[in-house]
Amino acid sequence: MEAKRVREQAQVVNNVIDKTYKLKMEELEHRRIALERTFDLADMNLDRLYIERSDVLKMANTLQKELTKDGLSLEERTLFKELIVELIKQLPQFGESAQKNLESLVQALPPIEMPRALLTGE
Amino acid sequence: MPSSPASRARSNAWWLVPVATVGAAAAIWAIFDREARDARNQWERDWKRVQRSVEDHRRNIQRNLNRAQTSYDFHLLVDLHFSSFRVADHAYSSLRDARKSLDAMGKMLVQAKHRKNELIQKKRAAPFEERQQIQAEIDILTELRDDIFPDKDAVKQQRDELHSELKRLNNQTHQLKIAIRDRCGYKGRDWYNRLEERKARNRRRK
Repeated sequence: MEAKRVREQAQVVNNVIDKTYKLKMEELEHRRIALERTFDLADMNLDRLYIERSDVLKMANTLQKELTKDGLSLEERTLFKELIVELIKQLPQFGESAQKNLESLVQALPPIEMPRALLTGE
Repeated sequence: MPSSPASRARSNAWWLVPVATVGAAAAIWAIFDREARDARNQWERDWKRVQRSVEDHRRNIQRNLNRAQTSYDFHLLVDLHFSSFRVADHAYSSLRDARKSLDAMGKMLVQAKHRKNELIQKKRAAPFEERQQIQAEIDILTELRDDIFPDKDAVKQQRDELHSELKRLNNQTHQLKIAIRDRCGYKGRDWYNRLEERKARNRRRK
């Protein structure tokens, strides 16, 4: 009688462990899918920033070559210079966007409290 | 009145009554005691069997719990490692872009300086009426350089911050990799070995 009761209780505990494990694994899977979307979005932003930055650098470089050509009026040179400066000013802004993008990714990472115990073997 | 020998003997045997009673009680007690002992022994045997069963189940539960925990930890850490690696990769791409910007800005500054020096030389050799025009061109290049420097400094700071973040993320990714190897049993060690083999293969291909 007592042995049967013990066996049944053990079965209940094992079932709870199995169910908790399955729930936790599903939770991980959902988090994985959500993170994947965040990564895809961040990668798209990064690609866009890369293209824009490359275009800006190409334009600035072309304008500088124009600026140093012979036979231009001072007004033309001044205009080229202003355009170059405006383009160059965008570079730190691209950098800021890239940093924000990265920051959002870092924040999207799951909290490290539990794994930290695993990492240190506490 | 004189008593007969038989009645005398009867009157002298009165002390046998309690002895007989005690003897009977002892015999009865012995029967009870044996039954009680048997029952107690039986109970102890049952109890020990239940205890062994409890202990077996406890070990089984602990094994199940450990297996579930190890498996969960393994999947959690592998996910974290992958995420950390991807974020680090993202940081590396941002750092590479920042370096590219800095490189381009540096080249523009050098070219402007080079052109400026050329114009200074040209101005020295130029007739007086052309000098003002050349000086104006020099001033434009000086302004250009002055305007580019603050932006270059800002990008330089971003590059440094990205570099620090990349180092932190790489370190975190490495720690996760080691934790998977050391704390997730056979699965963790197998995962680690396969990862290292892949890395070695990629290095050989390069």
